[in-house]
Amino acid sequence: MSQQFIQLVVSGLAVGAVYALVGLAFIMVNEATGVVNFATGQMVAIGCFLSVSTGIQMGLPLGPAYALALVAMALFGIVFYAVVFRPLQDRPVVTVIIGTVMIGIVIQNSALMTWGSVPFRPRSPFGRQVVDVFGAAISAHALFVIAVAFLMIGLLYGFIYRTAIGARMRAVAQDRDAARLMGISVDRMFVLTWVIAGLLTGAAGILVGPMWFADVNMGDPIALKAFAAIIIGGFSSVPGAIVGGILVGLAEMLGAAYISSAYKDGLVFLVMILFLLVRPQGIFGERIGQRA
Amino acid sequence: MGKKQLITRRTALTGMAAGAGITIYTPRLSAQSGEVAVGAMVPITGPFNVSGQQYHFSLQMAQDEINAKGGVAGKKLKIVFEDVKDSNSVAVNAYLKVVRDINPPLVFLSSYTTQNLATEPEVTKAMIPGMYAGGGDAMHMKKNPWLFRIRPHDGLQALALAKHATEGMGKKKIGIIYVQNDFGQPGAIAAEKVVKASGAEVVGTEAYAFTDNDMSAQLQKLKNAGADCLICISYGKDGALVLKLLKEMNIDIPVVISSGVMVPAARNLIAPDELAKVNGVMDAYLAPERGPDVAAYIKNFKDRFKVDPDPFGSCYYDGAWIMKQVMDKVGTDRTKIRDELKTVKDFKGVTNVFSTDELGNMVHSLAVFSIKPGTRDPVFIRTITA
Amino acid sequence: MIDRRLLAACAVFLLALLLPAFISGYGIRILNLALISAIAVIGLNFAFGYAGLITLAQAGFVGCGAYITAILSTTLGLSPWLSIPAAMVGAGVIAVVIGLPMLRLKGHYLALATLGFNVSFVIVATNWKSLMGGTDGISGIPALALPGWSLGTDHRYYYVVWVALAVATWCAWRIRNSHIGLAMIAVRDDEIATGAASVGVTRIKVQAFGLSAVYAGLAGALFAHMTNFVAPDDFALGHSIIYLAMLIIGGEGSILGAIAGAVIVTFMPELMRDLGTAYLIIFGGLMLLILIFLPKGLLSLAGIVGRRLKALSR
Repeated sequence: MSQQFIQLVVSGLAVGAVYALVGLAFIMVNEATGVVNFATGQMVAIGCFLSVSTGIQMGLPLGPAYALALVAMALFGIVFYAVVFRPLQDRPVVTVIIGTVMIGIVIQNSALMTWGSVPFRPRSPFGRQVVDVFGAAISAHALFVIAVAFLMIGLLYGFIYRTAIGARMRAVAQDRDAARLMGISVDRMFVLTWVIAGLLTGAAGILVGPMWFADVNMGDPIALKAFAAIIIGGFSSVPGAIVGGILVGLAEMLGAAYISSAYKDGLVFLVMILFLLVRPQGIFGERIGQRA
Repeated sequence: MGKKQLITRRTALTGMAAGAGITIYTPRLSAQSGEVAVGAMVPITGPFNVSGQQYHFSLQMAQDEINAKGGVAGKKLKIVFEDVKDSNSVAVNAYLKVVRDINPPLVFLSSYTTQNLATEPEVTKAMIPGMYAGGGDAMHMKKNPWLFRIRPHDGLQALALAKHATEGMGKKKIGIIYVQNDFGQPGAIAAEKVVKASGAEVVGTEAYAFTDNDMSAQLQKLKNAGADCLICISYGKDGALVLKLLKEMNIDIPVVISSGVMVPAARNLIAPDELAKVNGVMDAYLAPERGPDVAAYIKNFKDRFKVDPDPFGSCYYDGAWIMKQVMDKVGTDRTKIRDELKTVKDFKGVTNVFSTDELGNMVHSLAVFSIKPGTRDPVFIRTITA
Repeated sequence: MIDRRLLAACAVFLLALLLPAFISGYGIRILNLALISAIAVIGLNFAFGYAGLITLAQAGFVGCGAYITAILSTTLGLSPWLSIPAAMVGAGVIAVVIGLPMLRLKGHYLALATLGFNVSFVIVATNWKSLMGGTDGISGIPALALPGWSLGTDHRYYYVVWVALAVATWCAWRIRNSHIGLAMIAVRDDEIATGAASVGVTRIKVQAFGLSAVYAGLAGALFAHMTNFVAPDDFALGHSIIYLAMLIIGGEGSILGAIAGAVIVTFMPELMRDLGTAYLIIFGGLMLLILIFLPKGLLSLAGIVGRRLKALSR
């Protein structure tokens, strides 16, 4: 019983950490640029498949393979900025939503043409090693996912709140025009934001591959859960994304174990809708974004 | 703000106009007088194309071989392929399109049950005989006189899984894990019945959603319930995930698993040690040992398409040869073809022996395999017949 | 004074009457699908085009309508002529019930809440096997029939769909020019101002949302009786996005734009069928280009071309 509980909690934390990374990519982009990026899930899939290309198809060792995939994702962020965000940046919210959905369709089908519909199984740096945690068998990769996700979140936090560039990014997020008057290059901050989004989703994709396999349709289910996570945690809050992600991950595991495995996803979305109705700012949110 | 546009409105509009130009060009296929054109609804693109590719290949091969042997009903056979992708409405539209374009005497339908359920009303209206490979029992429950299934149905598969776990392996405490949809759910119910009828016990039944990536909670529950054998009713990727998780969680129980996992594309996702205690069913025992015809089929397929044939797609190859036998006898009249298909008995194909029953099912047995230790290669154990 | 565009619309409708004589069963089916989508998109135009509500739930409401009429006309054996209005009312009631709490949300919050509703609808339809048939769906839905005359073929059904679309368009046009329609547009244009004028902002939003669902319910019911089969797949979130794309492509806030968008977006995949996977890449790319370069939709293109021609003829 307790052993089962530990196993489920660790799995839930690993899954939740991935949702948190993806959720953060949403929040970073939305806060800084006001864009709700519905192609975030597809970016996760691209990150995962880039690691397939470097790690499996090119046969690189995992370290350089991951590094190369992340560099490619950073470039992908810049391309996304130039092709999608820039032309649409001053348009109404709905135009941007549909625009990102459409680019998501383009990305997903390009991935299908590039990598095919047969799933891949990327290696983990820890192979298929299993470690013993208080009598429960836990895959080493799950612990690795949790560690890397939190490391990345910590680094991001430090970057945003402890560096000069981070301060400039926050200034842009708070008031674009004022930031511009202060001499901050808003466009450069936007590019940086998209690069960070590329890195976060890329990391999520790389981490998730060995757990769930690489499949060109993997993006949307992950993005939907990440949506639920940031709504529960708070749409404009970094700690909110982390707590929301972990709550959704745990709810998924424990809900399947103790409530109903068939309706567990419905449960997550029910909680999301309840939060929207009762506390739309989420657990940590300070304000309701009315940037409609 | 002085924003620079990367593309001007004019170039964009020109591009769109060119795009519209491409769209207006639609080749309209029509049968030439010396030909018999039949339709085939294949998931050529989209997420279903793994099985669709095999289906596509096996019919291409059948078409050329049949034409080398005089075609059908004295004429050249031409198979017109339409892409059904992954959606019901696309499948229905494809069907109506092929009916308009070639007015075929017979159509090979999709290998996906929901697409076939959506197309079924149109088949009734068009009154064109069809052969299909989707396994769902809901399809033969329609009792559509125009439709014939050329692979084992899901109920048969569930029965084989349960029979093998209990009678074959002698297990008494069975846990069932299944994908929550039209394939897994009825399968789990049918398997449970067979297990109980054989005197064994079902210690737990657990479901997961098709899009789920983590079934550890469900597997943990079945283990705690004391299962000594798991029946897993899944497709390829989700079944591979179940086997991977079992190894990770140190759950050392034999698994009897459905056919989706046994195709090469899915087996390649699974490490040999994860397959060590796995037995699985497949639609057919497709190996050179079965005889010279099967050996030749496998060799020709591999030579031409550079991949091994799988039993899912290969049933369409058999379907095409059944069609030749029928059309050679009665010509291309649809009603005559239908009536003749109803009387098919003991037709020996590369996948199976085909005999039509009153529900339109032509296949009544499947094969059980274990895995050769240290490899991913299946080893034939036995055939289970309804 | 009679609106000139209305006259043009009448001419188009009359031409449409003669159309089936020249088109095959396959072409007519696609046309029927397009016109049914047009009804759903005209509905969406109330919520999004007029009241400015970003809703990603339209396919869910189309699904509500389709399933209601499917269940009533199969399990309960009700005549389709009765189950179709029931589907419209049912979808509308569901929209009002979930709209009352949900429509306090704005912008992307509302988008996500409605997205949640659509995803939940599919989960329920997939899992509630006893009522909704699971992924096997509901089959055997009867075709419409007049006494002694089946409307089951695509050619005959075209006229049913055509009449439904004509009535739906006329009603939409009347509503647009009534005080309800003007109030909806007022809500979109300046929510705070109308709120201060106490017009009952939430009530108007719920009206727009409910009305859009009634149209969706009609579209769903017509779809169900045409295909004789419904399954969750046809009402997934992706379809909600397509409906929204249809409206934006055609030109939001315009009834004609809604119809044009529905027809174009329905025919596009069929015309580009042979392109396979590449089709979706081209489709997505085209939509993006239209969003970027023709923010007012394709109908605005007619205006641009018209001005060009005038300039040339001068």
